[in-house]
Amino acid sequence: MKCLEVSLLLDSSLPGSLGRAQHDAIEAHLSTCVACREDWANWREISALAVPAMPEGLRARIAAVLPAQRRAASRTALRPLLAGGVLLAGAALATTLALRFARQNTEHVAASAAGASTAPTTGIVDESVAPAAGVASTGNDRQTQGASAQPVRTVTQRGALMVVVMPLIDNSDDEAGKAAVQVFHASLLDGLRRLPGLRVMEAVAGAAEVAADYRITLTGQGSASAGKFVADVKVEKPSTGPIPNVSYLQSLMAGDIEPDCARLPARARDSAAGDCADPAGLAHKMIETLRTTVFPPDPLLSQQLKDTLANSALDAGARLQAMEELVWVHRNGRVIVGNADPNPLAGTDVVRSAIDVGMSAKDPAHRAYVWRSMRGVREAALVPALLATLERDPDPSVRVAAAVTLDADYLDRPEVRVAFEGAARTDSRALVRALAQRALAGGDAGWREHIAASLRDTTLADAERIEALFHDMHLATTQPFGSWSPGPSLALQYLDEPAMEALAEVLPRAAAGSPVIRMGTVTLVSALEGRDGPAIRALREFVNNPAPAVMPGVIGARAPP
Amino acid sequence: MDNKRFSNLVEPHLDALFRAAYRLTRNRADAQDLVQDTCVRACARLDLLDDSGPVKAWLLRVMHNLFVDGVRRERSSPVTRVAEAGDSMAQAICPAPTPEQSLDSRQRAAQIERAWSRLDRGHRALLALRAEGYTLAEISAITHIAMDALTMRLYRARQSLTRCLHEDQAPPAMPMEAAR
Repeated sequence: MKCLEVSLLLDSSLPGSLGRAQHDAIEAHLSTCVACREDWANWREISALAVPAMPEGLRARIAAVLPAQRRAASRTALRPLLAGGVLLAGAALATTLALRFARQNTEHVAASAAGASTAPTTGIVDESVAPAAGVASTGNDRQTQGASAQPVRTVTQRGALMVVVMPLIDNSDDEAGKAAVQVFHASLLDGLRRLPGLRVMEAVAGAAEVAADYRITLTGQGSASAGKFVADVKVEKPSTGPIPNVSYLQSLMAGDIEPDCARLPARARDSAAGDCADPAGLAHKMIETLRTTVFPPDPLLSQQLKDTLANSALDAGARLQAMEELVWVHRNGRVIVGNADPNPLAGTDVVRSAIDVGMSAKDPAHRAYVWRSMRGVREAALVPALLATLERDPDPSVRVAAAVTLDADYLDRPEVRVAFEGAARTDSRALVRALAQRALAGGDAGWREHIAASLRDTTLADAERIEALFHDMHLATTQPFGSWSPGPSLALQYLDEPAMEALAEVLPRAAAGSPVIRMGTVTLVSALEGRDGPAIRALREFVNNPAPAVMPGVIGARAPP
Repeated sequence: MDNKRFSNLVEPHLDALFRAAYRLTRNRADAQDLVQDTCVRACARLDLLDDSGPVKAWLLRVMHNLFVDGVRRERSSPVTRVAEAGDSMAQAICPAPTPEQSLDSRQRAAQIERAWSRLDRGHRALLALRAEGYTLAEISAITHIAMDALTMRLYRARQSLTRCLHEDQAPPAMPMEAAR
């Protein structure tokens, strides 16, 4: 028994459900394999750690924060409408609204300043946005704020998010440490100011709380004797009342005061690239983290990724990596801002680039990836390329990907139905024919029957008998951008007993010839949890006690890459 | 979205959410923040949710995305997490030890804590969900990782955990709490 096989069986088996032979085989493996023994011992130690009961106050805390969040969502929804109205109504109205926004957003700051004129150094400095008309200007130098120097949310900065950077808390041991922390702080501020769509304000010590979308608190400590510095960065949505702050990020970064960056590869020597652990480099890393994971997606970053995707001088793998990154970045934005963020793969430029990769990539896996990823984009420009792929691509997996996307997004087009009619009759692969028939027929009854019939069809090769079922299982866990999957394989739940018996008969042979199917077999059986019957028991028995003669090498025959 | 809908759909799962969040963060305060953020995000989309659907899995997915995607780029950073006083793994491992046991356990707990914080967040999420008893099928539904890939990732996650523990032999660069 191999390492990966042990892992698979232990993960997919319910406690106490291991067969005797399989249990003994695992024991024998663990008695000789130090790496596995250590992996599982460490894992069990982590698993055994106690989890405290939920704090009593959490329920109330959430109940308190949700109404405020809903109000904030309502304000966010109104803001673009207001801004759009301003553009139409002219400058005079714009000024009025700007002042109104300014008053709303600085109400308690102004009250604090007015009520405590002798308060020490209370202030906010806005260094990134030109002041709105009618509001006292703020300079580029740090200054004390009075009642007339208030932060403003200008309507000309539509969609801008306010970021307040709190005063630096520096616990450094010596001057060199202090200098490192200050470089980090200055670099962080500088990087924030360069990000589009943000209004960055720097709070002065003792400043009153101000309404903001993000509040960044930096605590630093450096030591020349240790040669190190640390920067604790906390990003949160500040509370304006009894509601607790919402924490977005907290991380502690450690770096060298004077790192030997010359030893790094040439590309990494520039601290601006963020690869060198000097203060400026780490600040750059933090900016990248904030940019890609905390703040909503910014247009510049998206454009960079789109440019990479469009660059035909790069190989298909690099271009598709940029495409995947684009989805990831926007998926995070989706988490932050809800449903407002559209599918990042939609749009003429991205679609054109995707078509280019999909039609030119040599690797069928790359071509299939493109057409699968385009599911949900619903751009008319994709249709001719998808149709051409369905009709002419030599690799069936690519034709399957095209068929799935055409079915999901473009079935109402006559030319798509015509293409499906052709594929249903003439495609050389049964799976493609079945998908085309499923698209034309509508509903899943025929498709489920195809899965069952394929399993029972002993004239087919073993791999083809299970192909439709495995396609269905895979599709169920790969959804387009923004969609929610109900979980693995619904079709599996509809297989009748004869189909299950056929599956139990064919799967061991098919698994013997394919590592992918071997992996899928374990997960398939896991997905059958809660069901019972002779065939399902046989499948479980096969997974738990694979006969070497039937399944040589079993699951762990190949070490993971 | 009304409060009743939130009460009906989300509140029954708060305990499970907190347990999963604590497994992920190993920190009571962070776990509470994560649960709160999950509820805030979920709140915005709750109207779209089918009442009869897998609400718990959906909520765990929101939490998983917040945890993993939310700091995706952080994995390449030399980031460590400061443990909260009185809320460390040491207490979880050994609630009432002898002085000698206490020292060993604290050292081991600190080592595990550092290794856990260095572990890739995606791996951490998989191990946390598995430790919480979710099946492969459930984890697949929560993480949207196809089940055939999931088994491999779990295998690698355990390997990574061991690697992080090995790498922890050297003392951390400069623990902020100790320096203070």
